[in-house]
Amino acid sequence: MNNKQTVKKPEISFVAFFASVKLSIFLLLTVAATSVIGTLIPQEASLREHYQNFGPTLFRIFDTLGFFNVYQAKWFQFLLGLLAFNLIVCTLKRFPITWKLVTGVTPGFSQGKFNSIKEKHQFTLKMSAQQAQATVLDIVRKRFRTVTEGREGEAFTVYGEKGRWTRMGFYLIHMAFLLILLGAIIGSVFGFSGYVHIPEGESVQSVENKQHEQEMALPFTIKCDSFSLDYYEGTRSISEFTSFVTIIEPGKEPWQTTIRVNHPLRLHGINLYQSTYDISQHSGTIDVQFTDPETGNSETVTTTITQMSPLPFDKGSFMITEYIEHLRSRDGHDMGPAARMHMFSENGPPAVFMMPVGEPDFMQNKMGLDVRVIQGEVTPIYVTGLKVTKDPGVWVVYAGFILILVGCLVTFFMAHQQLYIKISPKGNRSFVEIGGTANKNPQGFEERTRRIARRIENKE
Amino acid sequence: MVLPEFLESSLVLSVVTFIYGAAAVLYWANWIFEKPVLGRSATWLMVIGFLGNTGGIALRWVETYVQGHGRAPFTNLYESLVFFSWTIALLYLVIEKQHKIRSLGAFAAPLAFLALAYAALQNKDIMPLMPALKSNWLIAHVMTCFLGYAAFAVAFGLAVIYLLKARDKGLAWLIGAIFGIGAATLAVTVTGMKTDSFWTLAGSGFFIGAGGALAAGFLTATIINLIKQNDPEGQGRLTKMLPDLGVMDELTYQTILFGFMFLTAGIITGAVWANSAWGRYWSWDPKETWSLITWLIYATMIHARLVRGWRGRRTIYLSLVGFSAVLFTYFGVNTLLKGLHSYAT
Ligand code: HEM
Repeated sequence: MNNKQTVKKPEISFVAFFASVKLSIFLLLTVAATSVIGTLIPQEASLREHYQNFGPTLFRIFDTLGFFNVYQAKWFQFLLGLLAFNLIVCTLKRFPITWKLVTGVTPGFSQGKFNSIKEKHQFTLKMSAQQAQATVLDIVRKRFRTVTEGREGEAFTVYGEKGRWTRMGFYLIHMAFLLILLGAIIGSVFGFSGYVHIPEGESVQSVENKQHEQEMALPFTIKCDSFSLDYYEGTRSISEFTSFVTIIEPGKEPWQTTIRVNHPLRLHGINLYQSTYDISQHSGTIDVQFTDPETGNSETVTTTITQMSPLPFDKGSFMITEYIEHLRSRDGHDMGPAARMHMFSENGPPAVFMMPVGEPDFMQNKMGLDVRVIQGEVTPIYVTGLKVTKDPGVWVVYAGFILILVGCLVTFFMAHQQLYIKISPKGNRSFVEIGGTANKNPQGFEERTRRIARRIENKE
Repeated sequence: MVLPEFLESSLVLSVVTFIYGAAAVLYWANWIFEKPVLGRSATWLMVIGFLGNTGGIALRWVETYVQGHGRAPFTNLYESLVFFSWTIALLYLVIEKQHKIRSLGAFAAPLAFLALAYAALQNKDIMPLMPALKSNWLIAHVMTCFLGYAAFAVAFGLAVIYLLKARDKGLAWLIGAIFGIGAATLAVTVTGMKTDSFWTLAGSGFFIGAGGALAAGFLTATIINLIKQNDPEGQGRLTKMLPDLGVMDELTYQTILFGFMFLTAGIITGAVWANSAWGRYWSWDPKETWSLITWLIYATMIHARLVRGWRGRRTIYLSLVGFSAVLFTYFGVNTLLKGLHSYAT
């Protein structure tokens, strides 16, 4: 037994452990396996719902293990950190070697390498070996970046090489992966996300930050001029939500713009997304008809929503406090628009009741009057709900995205190709042998070598 | 513009479904009876099916304009399945042309057929798009994802051929699993109509599924052993017709690389879309997470192969695991897990 091997230096085995692909395979599969948990346990449910689902014992176990918030759990982020560390250590260890390999001198034709190529193409050309070499060089130079010529005893040799740099391709993928993680960290440290709800005609200057429960001041004021809902023609399907806003920046003329779904507004590193909408209240006028059942006299009063108006026949006053577009009956049936009426008399308690709007047949008797709501001219006042985010890490992540795609292209579909050609004189003819190697997709390169061989063969 | 009725995309696509089915039968017949005329007609049918499939997609595109809210036809489950079978047919035809592996047709054509047949069960209405889905990133997302999925499906077919050629015991596991899942699904649907009890459902699903899996697995294993005893060298006609194991291994791997590239692009375009629609490029929603899991499994396979030099059955097994993750991402998440994803309805 070799004793030297068993007594490894601790720092070397530490590096070896963190640089090993076994560890990365283990980590990749562990991250995959633990990610499953978060898809089985709905992560957006509340703790109370989890408690009801799992019962006290399982709940306590899952809660301790962080299963209700897997992707933010310390151990999950630790796994991702280990993966990144693994990658960094292996890159630091490997990169100098790869770099030397890629930037080193061209090895040129080597008889040993040439002999080790199993499948070679052989043929004779009706020209001298020197002429043949010139012909071959001509063809190979067009297809390979680095071409060297040489002599091997009697024989002439040609060596072609390209794509040595593609051996670096996987570093691009690995760097991209690190960039994406870095971008995510930058986003979670320096970014924020929150919501603003702006009624039409009003403006806001700060956002409520969900994570830190604090108000964040915005570098500009945003005023909602109006909000519109567009429908596809002849349907009830919404085609677009649009907020028309005015942006007021200090020291600048206010300017107007729109925010739509999929078309966020990006300003000073802050993004505003059309997220939700609501109707805060309605404005407009409603015609209410009051009839005195004893005399049969009736009078129609046009009232403005949320404004007190006098009742006819000196009965007191009334107000419509709220207009509702869809009144739901007890069984969930949509009864159409309705108004909430408040009637006040000089003496006695007020009457509060709902009236359908635009149905004169519907009548209620309150305070000795028959009340009918004839019609209304009402428009809703919308509240636009904007999601506000700041994520300075996004560009780092996107850079990672581009890099990973480029890296995949290089790593998967480009190869380091080497072509070895030996031309031996044979009387006044020459005997040509061609062999090629590639570090990837050997069959593909084999096909290419064959084509080049045929090309040379036909060049006589 | 009004199109003649026989030029309705759904009608064209139903015809294409049958053409793919017929191609599948011919590919099998070609493999078993080894008659060149069968193989050639199978290829022709596949080409015709592919052209019809292309026409169907184009017609549907036109139909969205006729309905007045024109959009690219890649936005719901039905359309994605149609596109899925299109990509399978395309990839298969390219591989057949380049590598002359007709036996792969015996697996690729049925997959294209199944995808279209399953599509026929989906809601085919051309619905106008909700605002969040109106994005070019969504189109790029669907197209790249499905190119990736189709490549993985073709790689699955190649992996099955590899196992057949190697007469590998893994085949028994695979067929056992397929039958087990099929039996469990059938049991749950049949008993599900008569019972509301979760435990009856789960119990019958589990036991019938496990029974089916065991029976099918054992049967396959026995058949493999029998064949191996009769023909220890693998010189039987059916196995001999299949390409060399090394070729299959490399081709499976190349196909998976292609799929991995597009899956990566699919995840990325999805993230960019999410960021433009909701202001978040990644939210760990089940669909996203499962596509990441799939990505990680195939990444593992690529590492095992590139760095640790795994070849043959071990990488083939990993690619089967990867493909089951693909299936789960595509179907399982929608049916078994509820998510925010728009297809999940
Ligand atoms: C998901 C994140 C990834 C992690 C954490 C990761 C990790 C690693 C690690 C630790 C090594 C060992 C390097 C060494 O020993 O020198 C490695 C090697 C490698 N990885 Fe990755 N990898 C990831 C993604 C990828 C992807 C997607 C590819 C695509 C092809 C890839 C391609 C390679 C290659 C080609 C090597 C071989 C290096 C060599 O030995 O020459 N990696 N990877």
